[in-house]
Amino acid sequence: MNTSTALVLETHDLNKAYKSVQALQDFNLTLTPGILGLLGPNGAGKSTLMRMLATITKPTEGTILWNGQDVVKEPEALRSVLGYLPQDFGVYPNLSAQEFLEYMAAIKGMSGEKVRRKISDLLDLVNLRDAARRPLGGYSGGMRQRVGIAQALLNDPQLLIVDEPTVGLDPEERARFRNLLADLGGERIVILSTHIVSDVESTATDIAIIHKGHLKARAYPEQLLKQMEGSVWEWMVASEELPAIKQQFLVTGTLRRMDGIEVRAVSAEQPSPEARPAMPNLEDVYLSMVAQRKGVAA
Amino acid sequence: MKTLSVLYHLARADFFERTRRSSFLLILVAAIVMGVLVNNGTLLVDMGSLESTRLGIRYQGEFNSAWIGMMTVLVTNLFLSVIGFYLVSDCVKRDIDTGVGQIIATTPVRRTTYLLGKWLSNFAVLAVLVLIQAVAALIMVLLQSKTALDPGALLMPFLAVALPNMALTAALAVFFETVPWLRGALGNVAYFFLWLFWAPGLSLSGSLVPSFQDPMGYNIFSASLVAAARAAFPNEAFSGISTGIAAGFTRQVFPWPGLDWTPGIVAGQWIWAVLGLGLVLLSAVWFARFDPSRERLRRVRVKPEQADEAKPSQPRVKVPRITLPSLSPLVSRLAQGSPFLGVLMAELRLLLNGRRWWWWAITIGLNVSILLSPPAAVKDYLLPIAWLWPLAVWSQMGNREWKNNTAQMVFSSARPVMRQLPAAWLAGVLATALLVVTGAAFHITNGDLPGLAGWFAGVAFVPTLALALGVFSAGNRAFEVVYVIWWYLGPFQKEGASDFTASVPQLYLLVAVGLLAFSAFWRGRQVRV
Repeated sequence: MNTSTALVLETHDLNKAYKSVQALQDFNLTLTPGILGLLGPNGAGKSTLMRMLATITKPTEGTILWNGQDVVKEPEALRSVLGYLPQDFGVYPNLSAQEFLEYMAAIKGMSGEKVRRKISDLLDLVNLRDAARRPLGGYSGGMRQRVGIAQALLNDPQLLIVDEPTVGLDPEERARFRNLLADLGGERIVILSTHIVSDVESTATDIAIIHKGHLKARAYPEQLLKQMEGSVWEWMVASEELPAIKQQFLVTGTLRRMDGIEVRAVSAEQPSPEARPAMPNLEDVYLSMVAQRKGVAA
Repeated sequence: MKTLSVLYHLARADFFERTRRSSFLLILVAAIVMGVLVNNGTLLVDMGSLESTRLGIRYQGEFNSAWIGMMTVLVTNLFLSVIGFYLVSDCVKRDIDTGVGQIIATTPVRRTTYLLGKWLSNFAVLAVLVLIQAVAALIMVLLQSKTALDPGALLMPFLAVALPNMALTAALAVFFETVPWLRGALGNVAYFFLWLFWAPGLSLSGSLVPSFQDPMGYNIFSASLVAAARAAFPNEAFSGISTGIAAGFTRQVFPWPGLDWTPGIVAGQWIWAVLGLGLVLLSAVWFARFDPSRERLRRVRVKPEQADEAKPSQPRVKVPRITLPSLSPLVSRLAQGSPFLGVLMAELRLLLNGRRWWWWAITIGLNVSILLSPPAAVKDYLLPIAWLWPLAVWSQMGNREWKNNTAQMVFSSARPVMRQLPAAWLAGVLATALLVVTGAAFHITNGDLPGLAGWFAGVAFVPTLALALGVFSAGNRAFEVVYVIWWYLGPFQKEGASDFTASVPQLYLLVAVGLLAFSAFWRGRQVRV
């Protein structure tokens, strides 16, 4: 595939209302090849945004352009190059993985011998070769998730939208999928929505934070991390001090040690004489931003 | 070419998904039993006039390939067009329930292609059942025919009459699933009445029907059969044919060589399949392609984020600084007094909450009408309607745990069989008593003690049947289908013992006890598994 220079996904003043609830408001975003990590608390509007980008639901107002074509009016322009892995998807329990992927390939408009080869490659890629002929009803949650990943990649998508893709995967499969995602991001647009900040940290080239239907931040990970420099601290406290510290500061991590608890917190000033500055990570950034939006001064 | 490939794969995957379920084996067994019942003469086609029927005489053709083919097809059409409909009308729902639909929605497949694929899959499932009947008919010819096997005469009714009717049934299933207000209990009831309208062969008079009312193909055979019967019995006033169970009659036999299957006859019957195709294409108007904001799709498992997004976000201040309080079990005052009463009230709330205002308005209107209307109107119409109206309330009993994916939580709670299940049952009984309360008042004011006993029997029997079928099938469809048929024969048509509101109340109370015991046994099995 050598079309990456042409790939642009844009949203303009996107709004979505469910009856009286405004799920997304005046959302503007432009994406080019790379991996966008979409972060936001529950109810922020991430799934609504992804369902609209995946052409499942239409915006109440606004446009979505794929390489300049309005996909709200002409969804077919996007669907043939789209891969989508919903967070909570199902399978037909009485079909095997091979049959299910053949079925998905057909409805994606693929046919012929190359489909069989593609399915075979994907089964290897997601490590399901040995279980390919077993009914999906007998699969574990992680195995089903891998089938979902395989179906999303069937048509070699130019736009890949994945919602919580590593849920249910064991650490080895999770690392494997993160590497795969990083490889895929080079020449296509990947939108990764997750609550697992470390997944975003290890794969995303670009980050968007969404809160209450608004785009709150959009930056490269390095930029976000730079903003937090000098605001993250670590120090040791006694167990009984922890509740009070949690009241005072935004605690982003705790680690139990032999001599007490190592606290990691975000604070504009040194929170304690013993506190030493720590390297910020994306979890600090995310929690800090969400806490600010909720009215908590970090 | 690509569309054909998509259609093939859509239908194929759906067909495999259904036919590999263990429950499909039961359906195959039921189809074979139907074949056996036709073979041994329990289910049949016959003819007669009002006078001959009064005298206990009915007429049949000689058992040859043509008669056996025609008889098997009319019986198959009669039963499969109702049972088959309920069997296949879950293909779109399954894509919603499993979540496969939201993946399909992102593919280039067109709405019409998707629905046509589902139609073909429905048709394939029904065609398998028709094929079983064809094999049963062949066996019947080999065992019982007075003449040699004539494959054309035997099989043409299947090709020209049964298959187009199944194509129409398959299309109606897609249509009823796609139109939002026909999905669910209302659609199941509406289809039953549509089937009654299309089932003229149920009547013993078997009179001719207009062709728009005849997808099952009675008219095709009727004229030829009447002519053959009149030739053999010129003094009888035959009007048409009837299908079903007609035991206890003396049978007279006449020769019938079969139909001359002209292209016109065959094409005329396949028009029903074309109509079915039109219905499927029309369904695309309502089919929202799994867009949750365009139709009220409810996933079996609602993902938490979706549920959250449907509510306005409340600003929560100082969330990261919450100190967990010490937690203690939250028990209502009622539950503190009696845990069973606590569960009972919760079950009652679950059963009755969520009804729209108009549903309650109709319920109240129905009950008030029972008190104010003439007794004859109450007995013939209002009470039967009152015994059908709460169908949607009853049909959630015993299967809510599967529908809402709460089975693991409920089954791991304290006493799921000895406390939760009896509470769910009692909630159903109390809700039933409440929803048809003026039925009891009507019987009391009219001094109708047997009627009052029947009311009590109904109040105990109906929710218990709902619970038993809900627990057993883990779904609402089984109860809806069984109950609507039972209601039609019993409270509506008042056919003998099937009327649980009028005859043998003690029997129905006993049956209720048995069903409750069965529910407890089956739920215990589910909990252990």
